[in-house]
Amino acid sequence: MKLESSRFGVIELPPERLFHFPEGIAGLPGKSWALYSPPGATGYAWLLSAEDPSKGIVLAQAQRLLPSYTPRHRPEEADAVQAGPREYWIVVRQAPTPGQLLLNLFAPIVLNPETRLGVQVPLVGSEFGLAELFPSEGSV
Amino acid sequence: MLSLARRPGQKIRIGENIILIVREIRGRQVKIGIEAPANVRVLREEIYEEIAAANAAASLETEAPAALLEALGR
Repeated sequence: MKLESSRFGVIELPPERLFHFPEGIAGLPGKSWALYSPPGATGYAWLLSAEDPSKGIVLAQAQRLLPSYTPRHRPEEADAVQAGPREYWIVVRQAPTPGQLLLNLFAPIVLNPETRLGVQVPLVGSEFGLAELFPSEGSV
Repeated sequence: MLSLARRPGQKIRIGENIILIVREIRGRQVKIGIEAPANVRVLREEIYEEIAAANAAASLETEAPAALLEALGR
């Protein structure tokens, strides 16, 4: 499939990289999103809107970026992706301070590569925040 | 918007599977019980709004942050 993106132009993607988010993604339009790994990218990818070329967010593979991160939620809270393997991705953005990131550890994106369904799962009651500094202040 | 007057202990049913119960009214605060299927996401509105704002802010990135590439060993 071809996908138009304001960041990457027209890109060709295999159909299995297209995910449907039945609940949508809070704050962003549409329910159809493509997981695009730019050439050479490892451990991260862009989640690009298949409906609005200007919309996209950077995701990091939770296991790669933060191996100790253990998102805990009731299994039913990710029922939207149905049964099968569940990959956890962290929404990443640049922090105001150079060299640091803001990680949304509170609401990871869960993708099921078999059903090609996705959902963002808020970890209500967890200690995680929506904008956690990484590396944290103490480790810079 | 539909508005319904309810007293403590009274319920509101939404569709077949969701019931709201007014459990307690104390001063300016109302305690509401929610019976819903486990796969129905129930969130305080302000939490939803915070997630939406965080996602919208993340969508302003035009390239993968250099700090991310560094953290991933590139």
